[in-house]
Amino acid sequence: MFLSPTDILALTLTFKLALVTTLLLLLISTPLAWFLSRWNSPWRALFESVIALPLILPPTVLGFYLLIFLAPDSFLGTNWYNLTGHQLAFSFTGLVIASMIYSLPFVVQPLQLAFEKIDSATLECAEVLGASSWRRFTSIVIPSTRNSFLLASVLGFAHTIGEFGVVLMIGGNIPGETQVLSLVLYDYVESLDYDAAHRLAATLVCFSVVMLVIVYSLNRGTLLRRKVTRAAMPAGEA
Amino acid sequence: MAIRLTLIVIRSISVLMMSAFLGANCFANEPVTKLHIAVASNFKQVHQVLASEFEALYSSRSNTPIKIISSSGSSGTLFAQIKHGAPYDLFLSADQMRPDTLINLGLALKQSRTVYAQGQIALWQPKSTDPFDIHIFKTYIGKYTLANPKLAPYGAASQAIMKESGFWQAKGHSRIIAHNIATAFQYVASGSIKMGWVAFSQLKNWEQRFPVPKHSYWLPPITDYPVIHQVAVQLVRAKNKTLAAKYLEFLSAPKAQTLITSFGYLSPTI
Repeated sequence: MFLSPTDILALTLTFKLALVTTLLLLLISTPLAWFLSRWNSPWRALFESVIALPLILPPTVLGFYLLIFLAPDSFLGTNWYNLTGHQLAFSFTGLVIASMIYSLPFVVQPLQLAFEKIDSATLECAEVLGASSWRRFTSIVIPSTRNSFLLASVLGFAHTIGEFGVVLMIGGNIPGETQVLSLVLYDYVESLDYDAAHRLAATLVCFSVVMLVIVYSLNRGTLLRRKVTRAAMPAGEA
Repeated sequence: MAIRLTLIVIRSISVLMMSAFLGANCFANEPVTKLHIAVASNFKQVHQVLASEFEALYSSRSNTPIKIISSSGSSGTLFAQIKHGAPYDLFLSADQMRPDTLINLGLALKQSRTVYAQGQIALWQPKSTDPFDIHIFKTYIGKYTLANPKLAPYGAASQAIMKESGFWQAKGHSRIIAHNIATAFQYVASGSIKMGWVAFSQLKNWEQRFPVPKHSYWLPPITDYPVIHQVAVQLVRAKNKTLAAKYLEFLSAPKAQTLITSFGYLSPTI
């Protein structure tokens, strides 16, 4: 067979990790980005810097400190163990937390930029007309920043799939639990099995290109459809 | 139309992925006795053969089948993970320093310390047409590589030979320090560097797919460099202590040792 069972297990695990991480990040980053986009305070620069930190720190450094931070004898690790009975480091949950920290700037920054471009006057108008804050968010903010949400999701997803240094340190390379694609690939290279490494890398490249093409053409599709509906509207309404 | 098509594609992919997750979960729920082994990358190939032999041997003797889970990585990374609570039962290191440190830290059992293999270094020059030895450095011009002597025992051994023969400080060739022995091998195998100190076990591994003629490498006498002992230890927090101990016994038994030597290592016992 082209791919070994280890590869397939790692492939599904990687996509599962990227999916869970991206969804959770969207949930957290949307309010965070909104807050940052409307916050006028000297502290804002500090917050933004902290969020951008994973961009600067080498992933292995980040991974090493996350390892210390999530270890069973750490504050977080102990409490998590008492709460759930599971260890945080070297588990899928730990990997999700680490990936979220690692990919946070990739999701927050496009959203924040998009939110900053929204005209406050439009929102105030809607408020005067009696639209609730939820209604304003779903009818004005989300439709006008749809592309940025897509971009943020794609960046977060792709960045999580490509992560290596962090998972190397914190994952423990356990098949089916924390052994993601990049680790399997590195393993092949380290044990001189270059053929298997080439096969896996080729699969990953093909899959990524197909996925990105689908996402971007979907995006184009919605744009085109919007143009069409607008054009089809009766002159009086437009 | 195009949108509908892409939606169908996405849906079928997600269904496929869901079924793959469910499949993976079913697999994890089988009643098996698990043994989790952390193994240094350089030993991974031999380890896979040994692990499946052990599984077959002991599964037939006990009620529940035995499943060995292997995590491979550099000895340094595995060491850091063990220090921070990684759930491994056994640690097969590529050196003796890290297992000994774990014993001193109270994380590994002293009585479990087993030398399971002895490493050999080789000077490899894939394009060489004639046999050579250390004196090649007299005429060799260009780069050569070795593993970082500070981190890798294979690197320290190469450095010792270079120093002993007086070529460490010699001019005419420049040294590229590789992060570890696997990287050193990659430099030479890819052709980026023409000559380098590698592990003999790597050459044996490479020989299974590519020709490695006898005159393309030189094996220095084993007494010329510090002994490279690859040490295995059982971790204190091992879940299945009897099985872990059995595995260490199995590793040092003549059958496993014969296999280990066929992969380019020396046996510390036979």
